[in-house]
Amino acid sequence: MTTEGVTLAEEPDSKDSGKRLPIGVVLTPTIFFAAFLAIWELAVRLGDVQVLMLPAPSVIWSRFIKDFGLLVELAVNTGTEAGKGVLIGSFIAIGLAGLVHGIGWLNQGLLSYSSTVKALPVVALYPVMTIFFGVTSKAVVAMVAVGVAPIMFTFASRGFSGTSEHDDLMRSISANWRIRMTALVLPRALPYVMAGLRTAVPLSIIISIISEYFGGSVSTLGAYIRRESTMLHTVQVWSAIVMACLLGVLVFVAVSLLDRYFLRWHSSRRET
Amino acid sequence: MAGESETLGLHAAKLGKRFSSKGGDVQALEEVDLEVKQGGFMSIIGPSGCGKSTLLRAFSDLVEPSTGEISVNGKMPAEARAAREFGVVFQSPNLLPWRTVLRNVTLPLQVMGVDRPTRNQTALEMLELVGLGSFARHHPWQLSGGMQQRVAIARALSTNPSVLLMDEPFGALDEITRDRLNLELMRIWGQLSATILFITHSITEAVFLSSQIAVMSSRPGRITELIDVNLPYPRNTETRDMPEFYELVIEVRRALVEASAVAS
Repeated sequence: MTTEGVTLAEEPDSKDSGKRLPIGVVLTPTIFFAAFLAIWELAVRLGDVQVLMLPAPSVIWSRFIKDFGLLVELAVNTGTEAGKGVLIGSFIAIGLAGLVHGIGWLNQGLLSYSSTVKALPVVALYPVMTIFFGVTSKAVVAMVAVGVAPIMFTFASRGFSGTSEHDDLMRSISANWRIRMTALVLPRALPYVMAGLRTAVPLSIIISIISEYFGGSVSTLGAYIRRESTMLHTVQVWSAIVMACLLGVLVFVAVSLLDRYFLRWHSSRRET
Repeated sequence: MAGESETLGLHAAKLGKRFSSKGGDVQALEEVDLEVKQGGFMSIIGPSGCGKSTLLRAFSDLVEPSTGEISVNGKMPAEARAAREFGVVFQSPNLLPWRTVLRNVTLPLQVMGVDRPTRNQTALEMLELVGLGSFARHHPWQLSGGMQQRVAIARALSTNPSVLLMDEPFGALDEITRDRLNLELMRIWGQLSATILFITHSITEAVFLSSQIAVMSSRPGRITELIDVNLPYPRNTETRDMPEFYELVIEVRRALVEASAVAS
């Protein structure tokens, strides 16, 4: 209902009331998912499918519950690798974008470079990483950082290149570089950084797990899935996949919550 | 004393500004002579695109003049800016959406290196002055357009400048809000006795507020007429009912018509 700026909001605190998620948004996908599981379960049982080929959801679930402690430990390790990679990659990318913004040719060069890298299958570089870092979790972290950095650079660079009337304001009050950065340039880039993270964080989990397939720390989701699959422990593989999915959902929700908190001032976060 | 008052206020002499672009050059300002005495309230009125905003931006050191001389309180605009001689109120409120109302008002003081307790106190006083003392902790988006523009005025006043440069500050507001803020501005100006340069395209607003009105024509932007507004201060709602008010409105309208006739 609110349009930017002009509408009256004389009672500013009354706006959060009466918000409710329409029931269909939750209900419809839940029904679909339940139906999907039921069909799977039935097909496996009635079709007499071997557990090595495809276990029934109920079997996977009981294994998942049984191994829950182990699976959480694996997920924490994988999540930590991904998280470190995102932090390092973002830090480098955002720092670089901040440094080169305003230097047109350098910024342009790095932008086209990062667009190219984004199109490449970066996980193919993993063997190279193991040459640098050995078959350790460091190599996984480095792989995630390499995969995430071009995305974050593109978004951050777009965020830094923005101009607005606020620049005139900063000049009119003779703001120095430090205040211009902290009070204007960084907050103005924040929506772009958050948009970058929404892409980069789920990707970091994917890169971590695939890298772990090729080695690294033993106690991670990727290494576990690979090890169990070579031993034809299909149920264990599936229970780890369930955990990987949960990890993906978890980080997605975490980023969304961060987004909502840090950008609560942003017009696009206030509708509905 | 006489010598000092000559340098205070705003001065422009044979001021010119030419913008170059691919589509050809535009003479935004040509041979503009302007003088706003200390404590005066000068409105500049003219059709859209006549260069009135460019003139204000030249005073506020956001635009470099191509020719001529310009000064604020006897200083070049860049020096005046560094010495915090003026505050600027922009067309849009231009508040930082991620900062609270209070921290928007403290921003110029933060730039000056004023310590936090002092700048919070000053900012609260300024917010009281514009009638928004109880909204210090709110964010800009929780305020109406008129309230946001009042915050912008509080911010411009926070460094206690002797000159206020206002670039169509109420142009985007509805007429009722605008009338209310005009009254508010008169009250504030009465308390502070600052020199004000005010850009507008509203005739009634210009007449109501100003001690003098400069009428501009467009392409090239030049001042075609100066009209003294001899309505008594303090001005209030009754001012708008005075016959002299209407005579002046008619006079400014005639001057505007003549100015646009010159242009075409």
